[in-house]
Amino acid sequence: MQLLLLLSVSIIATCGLVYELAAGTLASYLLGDSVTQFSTIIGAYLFCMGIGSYLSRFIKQNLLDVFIQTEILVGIVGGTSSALLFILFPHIDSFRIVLYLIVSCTGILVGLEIPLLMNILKKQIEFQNLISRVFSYDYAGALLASIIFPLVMVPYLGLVRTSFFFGCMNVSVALVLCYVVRNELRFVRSLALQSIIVFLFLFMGILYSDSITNLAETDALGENIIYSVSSPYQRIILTRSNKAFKLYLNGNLQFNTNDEYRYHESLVHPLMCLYPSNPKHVLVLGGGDGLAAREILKYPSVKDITLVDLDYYMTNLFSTNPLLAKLNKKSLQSNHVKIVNDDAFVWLRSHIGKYDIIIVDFPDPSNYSVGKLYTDMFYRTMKKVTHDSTIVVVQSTSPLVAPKSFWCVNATLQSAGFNTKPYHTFIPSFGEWGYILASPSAIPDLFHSERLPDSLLYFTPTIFQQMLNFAPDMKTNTVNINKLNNQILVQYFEQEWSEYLH
Amino acid sequence: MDRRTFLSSLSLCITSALGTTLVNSCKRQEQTATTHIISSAHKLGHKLKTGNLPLPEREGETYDTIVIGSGVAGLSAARYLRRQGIDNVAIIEVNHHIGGNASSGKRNTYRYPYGAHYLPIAELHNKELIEFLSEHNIITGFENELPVYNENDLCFAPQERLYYRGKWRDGIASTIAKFSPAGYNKFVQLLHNYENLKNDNGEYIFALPICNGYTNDISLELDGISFADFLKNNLITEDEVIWYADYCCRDEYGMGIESISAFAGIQYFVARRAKSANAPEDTNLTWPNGNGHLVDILRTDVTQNLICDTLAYNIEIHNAKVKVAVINDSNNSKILHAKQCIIATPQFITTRLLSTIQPERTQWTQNFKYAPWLVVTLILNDTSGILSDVHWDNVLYGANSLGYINDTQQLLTTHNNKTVITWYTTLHKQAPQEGRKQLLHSTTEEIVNQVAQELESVHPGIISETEYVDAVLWGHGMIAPVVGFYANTHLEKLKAPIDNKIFFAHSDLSGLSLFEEAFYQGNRAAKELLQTRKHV
Repeated sequence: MQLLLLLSVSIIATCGLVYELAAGTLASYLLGDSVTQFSTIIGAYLFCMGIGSYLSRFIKQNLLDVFIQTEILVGIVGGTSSALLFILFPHIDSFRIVLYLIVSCTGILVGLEIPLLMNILKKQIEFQNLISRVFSYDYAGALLASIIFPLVMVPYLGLVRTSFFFGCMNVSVALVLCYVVRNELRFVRSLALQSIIVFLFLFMGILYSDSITNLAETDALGENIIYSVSSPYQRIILTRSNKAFKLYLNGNLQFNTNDEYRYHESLVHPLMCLYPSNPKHVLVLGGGDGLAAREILKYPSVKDITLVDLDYYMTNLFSTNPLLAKLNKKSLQSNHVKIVNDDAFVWLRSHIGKYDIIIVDFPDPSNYSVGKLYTDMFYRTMKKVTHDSTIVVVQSTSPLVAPKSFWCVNATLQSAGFNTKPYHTFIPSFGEWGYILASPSAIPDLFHSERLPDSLLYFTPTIFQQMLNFAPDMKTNTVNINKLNNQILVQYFEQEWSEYLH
Repeated sequence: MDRRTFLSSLSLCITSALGTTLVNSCKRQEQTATTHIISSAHKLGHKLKTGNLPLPEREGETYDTIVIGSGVAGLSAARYLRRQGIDNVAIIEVNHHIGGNASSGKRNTYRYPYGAHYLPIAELHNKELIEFLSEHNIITGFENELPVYNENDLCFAPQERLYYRGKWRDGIASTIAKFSPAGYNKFVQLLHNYENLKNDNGEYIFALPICNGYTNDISLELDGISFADFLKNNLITEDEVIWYADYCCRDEYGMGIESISAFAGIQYFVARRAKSANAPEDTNLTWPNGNGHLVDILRTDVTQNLICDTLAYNIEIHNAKVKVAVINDSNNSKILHAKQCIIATPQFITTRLLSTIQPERTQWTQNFKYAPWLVVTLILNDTSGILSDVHWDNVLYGANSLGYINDTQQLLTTHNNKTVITWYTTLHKQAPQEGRKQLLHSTTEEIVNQVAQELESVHPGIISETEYVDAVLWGHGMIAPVVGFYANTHLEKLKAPIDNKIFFAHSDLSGLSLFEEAFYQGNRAAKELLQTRKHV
């Protein structure tokens, strides 16, 4: 029995450290800033272990029963901790409170274990010997955990399954002890039953970890999903690898934090500097991530930005989540920004008002629903909110991969009575990417470089001149106009991208 | 939703040509509560059939003109009169709603057709129709004298698909052409021979409205045989092509190629030669509520005196005035007076209204056959794509039904919480009166099973996504141009005014239940009426 108890010290130590590491890893995934997350979680965890140790002094009777009970509790709290945090993250505002609550519970319970064990063993082993043996088993377990956690468990099992797995280990200890020391236990039946139930529950967790973490998506994207939610309109997934975040809407990459500045600077600054006077009233269609708004807010002349994005989940996520709000410099919380959660087409039809600048940043026209937002009817409806000098920019997919699609947007804008000026640039995550400037009047040639904000990482007037040149491989023959009754753009887009990808 | 709650949430709307009955579906005991409405219109309509009607209790209002029936023909006639300055017109409608075959339903913000659901873009010679569409901004202008259609009203892409050999394929005719190229080419060539035939006056024989064509020798010969025999005689036997021809006839006329005349069959394929500045010639105009939209805009063009829930049951000419006996759903009867009257009801109603004045009408309309229809709208909770890339028109090869229409197709929103579809079927496998009997005696479960069985085969799980069902049983759905219809020598007499007091307008007088024909018949009757006033 002695050896068994000492071996269980090792297992307990391994499990304890694994829960701690899992919580730390999860917090870094979900909240970013791994140094802070790891320090605070380890600190909190150790402190709580101390509380557990302190509490152990009040336990005087039925030590073995309490020890087994503690094992079961550690198993269930620690085992489910990762899954719980993953599931709760999108749904609760005070994620940190839950995180530290779980970490504290695990810490207290783990803190109880060793003192309890020592109290049990002190009658059988001399004190000095006891300390040395218990701690050597303890630290050996810790070493094991710290090696297998990053090298074996996370890569092969994933975080959630790892936690469930070690939860099972904890409960196994309880189960084995229930059998071996059955004669010394007072509540043997109740404990055995609990152990079996919890073990089965955690084992189910191992089996169904995939559904819990949407590992299917992780596999497809090959990245760690830190947030995923299905809004009524789309599946929003945020992933993180090292320092880079990526946002996917319905599986399509929207931005990568490594290079989104290239995309958004190129989207916003050309028309802001080409507008004949200082732009004041700006309309953003789409762009619920607030990144375009972040660039627009760099112009002090801008008095108001109306941002129309269908999805409340998107705009809410990007205005309230600290990590994402940091990304868009809290643009969606700005007093200048008015968020409208409505369908752009429907909103435009009923809206009266004129804008100096209109930024059209919709997802690519990959289906008939979104395709409507690229039709001549849409652009004609949009024309109602323009005045003569208004400049519009439309993100228009890749002129290199999908030249027909790109020039189709151009032709459609022209057919709706806009003068256009296409340009393009290179964005590593997307490849060669295209935009089209459009205005009821001719697009001005004069570039007001004095307006350009200082802090830009990529965009300069010289770079813009280069953006206006199109190589022969980005050109195409005449294309049709995209209309509601032909949706030719969706067909072009599908054809060109599927050819490119296969 | 399981099958049982699905059944219990069904609101069944039974419409015979006599009127509308909103009937609670829950006759079966195991079902839980459902909504239940029986409109009085059906009772009213039935009164006309049994002849159990009172002598009018009192004298009622006097109008310039009374129009009986608020379908497209009646509304068009009233519209025409109003444009000519005749404002004091009453329109009598037995149903609670107007529109006849073009009426439509609504639930929350979603609208859907009860019957007719599209209008092909107009032929250039159809000037009155073009004018009507222009007035209501469906045609927004002209380029090189060709109408420019409002793109909100043109059917959005993707338009049609066919479920054939286990999968959905884009395009109906194009799929047939792809899988049966030789047969389809032969078919197209054959029809092409008839496309440009002209009569002695130099008018196309096959054109819309049909009035110019059917008295011709060629057309009468084609009227004498079924479209099926015509195809057989011309050695068109390929299954796919025969199915396609049959499907088109059922879709357009409510009966298959065995019943429909070769004349009408060919008419369907060659009579349309519309041109437009911004749409291909085979483009359709459509709206969420189908032709209910056209009814809505016609309504804005007509008098305020729309008298619904009221049955006209007798018409007499007395002292050069028309006296129309009417009874409403509260059983109050009276006599309305007018200088003249336009009867815009189908002939099986008209004959009863005129049983004293013109009893021979019954004889004249012996060969008028009306196809029974079943039209079922489902509101689906799904946005998850159970319909997988739904098109506007979704047809199942070889099915009994005509497939379904996506009523949410024309919405500009990129996302909708619900998808609304309307499923159509005709009871073409039996004689109309038997089909009618079967239809009107169907239990809710039979109707739902019929829809479910077919839709589940292509969209497994669709029933569990269904939130609401609205079924319309059209006992006398629409006139069918069956073999020999145009050989009826009484057709002209049926249209002819009586004593310059009573005029006739209905698409069944054309033999084709089409918006264009109803619109034309309404205008024609109104013009005849106005003509009599010029002479006075």
